[in-house]
Amino acid sequence: MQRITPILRAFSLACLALFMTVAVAGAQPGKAESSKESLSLAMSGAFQPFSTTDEKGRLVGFDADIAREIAIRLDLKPQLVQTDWAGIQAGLQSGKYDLICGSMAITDERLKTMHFTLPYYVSGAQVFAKKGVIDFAGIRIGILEDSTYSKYINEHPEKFPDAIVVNYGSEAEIVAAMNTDKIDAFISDRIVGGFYIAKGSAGDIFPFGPLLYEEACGIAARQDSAKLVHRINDVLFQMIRDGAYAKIYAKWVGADPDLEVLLTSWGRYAKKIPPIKSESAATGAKPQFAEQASAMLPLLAKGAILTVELTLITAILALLTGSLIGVGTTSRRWWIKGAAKTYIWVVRGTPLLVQLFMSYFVLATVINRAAGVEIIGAFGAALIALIVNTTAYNAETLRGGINAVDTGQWDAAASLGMTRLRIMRRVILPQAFRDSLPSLGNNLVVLTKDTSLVGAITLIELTYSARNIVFQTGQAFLPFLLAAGFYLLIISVITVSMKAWERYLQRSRQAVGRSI
Amino acid sequence: MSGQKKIEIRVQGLKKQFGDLAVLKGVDFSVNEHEVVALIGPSGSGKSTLLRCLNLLEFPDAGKIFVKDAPVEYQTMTPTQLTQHRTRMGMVFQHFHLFPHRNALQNVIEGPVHVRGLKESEATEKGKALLNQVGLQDKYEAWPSQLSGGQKQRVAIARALAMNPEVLLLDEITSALDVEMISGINDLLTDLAMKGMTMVIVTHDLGFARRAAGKICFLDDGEIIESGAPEDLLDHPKEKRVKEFLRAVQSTPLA
Repeated sequence: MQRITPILRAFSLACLALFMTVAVAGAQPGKAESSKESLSLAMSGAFQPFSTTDEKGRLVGFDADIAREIAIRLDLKPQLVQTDWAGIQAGLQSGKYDLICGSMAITDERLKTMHFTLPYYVSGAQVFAKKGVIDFAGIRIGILEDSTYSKYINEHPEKFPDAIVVNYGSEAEIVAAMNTDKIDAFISDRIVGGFYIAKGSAGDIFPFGPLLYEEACGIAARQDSAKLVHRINDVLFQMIRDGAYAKIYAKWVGADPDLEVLLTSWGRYAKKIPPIKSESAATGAKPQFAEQASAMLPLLAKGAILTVELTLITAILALLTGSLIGVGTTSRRWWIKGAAKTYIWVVRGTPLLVQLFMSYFVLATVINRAAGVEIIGAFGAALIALIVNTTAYNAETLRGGINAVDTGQWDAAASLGMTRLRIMRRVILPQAFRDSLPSLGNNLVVLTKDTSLVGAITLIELTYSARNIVFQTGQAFLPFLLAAGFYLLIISVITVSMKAWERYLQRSRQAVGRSI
Repeated sequence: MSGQKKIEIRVQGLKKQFGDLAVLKGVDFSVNEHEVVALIGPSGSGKSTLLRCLNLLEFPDAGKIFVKDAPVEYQTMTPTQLTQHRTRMGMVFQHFHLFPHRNALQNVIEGPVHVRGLKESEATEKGKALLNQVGLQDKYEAWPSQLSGGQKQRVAIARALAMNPEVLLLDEITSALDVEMISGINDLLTDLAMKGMTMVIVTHDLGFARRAAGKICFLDDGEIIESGAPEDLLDHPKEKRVKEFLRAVQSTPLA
């Protein structure tokens, strides 16, 4: 039981994250009714104790309280936005919110595309491992994708000899992965890790080795908001002076802040604060459009290959399983019919994303634990969920096709002495299949686009590749445009092939006799 | 023609009910080997149901069926015995029910290859011979959608014959055809009868029944109320209902 709770928590967090993103995005137009202007600040909501959600789904934590306090002191209405860490920078750049107040470490890399306030807390990166780990050989390390940790591990592979790096989209998924034996260690914030140890929420872990490096987190803004950054710096100083800062810190971290360390760091970061004049400082000569596009293509193509692989394997297998379940719904045996209909009901009644999580965090974990080795990885788990999902839709489509075949066909075939099963296989199913092919093709198109969800379980398919490029380059338009082009290409090939297949199967319905 | 008379099918007290509707109320009748029996009677009298009970497309509720004097234990038979029984009774339907996704020849060899287990080459040879016999020597590869009603019915007859049935059950097989197609199909059936095929024919075509049948049974409201040689039953009916029916049919041209 103890192991299942964190998984459930991860599910509900993931579902909440989705729901909240939509809810908040939908709620934004309504803000006009308030006379006060609002300040919107984004955080992941999946980074205890800095940002998380309470039982009512509200964002709470150190980051959340700091964000509210800053907005109030600026005489603005705080509006907290929960968004996926992996897309948080793109959201800022595209103007979905004004600031990121989500424990984002200040780095030279990030300073190229964003402005940062002075640090509002200082911590550091730390490896946490489950008990028993003595070195990195063969150890799977969970890393928050596009974080300073992933950058560090890429730049210092020698510090992690023979370790296997697994990328995750949120801290909550890393915790779930620790609890389901998907990884043996992870890198996190020193304070956050201490919080996990205190709560026991990531299993039996300990800080492994020394602090990797010190980190200072600031509030990030677009480069056109230098003035706002300066005003926040003033507010931060106020908060430190009047004790509001220490109060919030103690409430969430459970200790008093080391203000000396914090303020010393200000000295180091002060020169990185943008001068007020640089409102629209150009970032230098931009590469040409075609040049940028061709630089992105290899990564996107790699993602596209994974998308095609998942689509094709699922399409073929789900056609077989879908036929079986579809035939099952027409069985005369109540238990076969009942089982088939229940399957369709359950699978069509639950979201694919939840099925992906179930497959990856529950099914794969149970099987891998029972076997003692990793039999089902992320790819296998994704395939299982996609096949299970598409099977239900194909089965329902075929059920309609089977029922639409003239009952006289049964009579004719039975009068030849064919058994029920043979009639189904030789006479009914071929006709049902032929007539259902347009709808089955439609299921296949939906499947192709649905594969974009497997990014949630660490697979870097087409959409995920595009997102990765967005993080690297800070550009949102071009990568997504190219990704859309790839999808269009894949789906066009599928549509044309399905049409050709349809024509072939429909050859028995030629012009003559159609006039009847 | 036939020397001594052997009974091919015998039915005793056959009953069949659909929900509250009693369609067959205890039918007794028999068909001799190499004999052609025509079932006539008004719509809804149970002719088709009787035919479908003979090859067990419908299971009777009560009554006995004998084929060549051996009882057909339809209540207890295994699926294999059921399919075996059906292969002995070829059936042709009013609306053909050809397999639309298979061409003429494939329709004919479907049963021989997949039920009787004949080699495809052997079945194909025999299938072509049958299609020649029904006058479709140039339509082996034609899809059902490319054939006229009469041609479709010829394929359906060839398909039934391909199983080497002992009896052919024909359920109003000319009723859905254009008038000019009917005589061709009737000639084909007459030809089959001449060759000694045992047949049970449900029909509204009294002229054809008179020419082809050795015996006519008149069904009314789930019972055979009169049967006999065509000239007796059609020209000198005994029962009032039969007389009424014949008068009604003869006063209106065949549709």
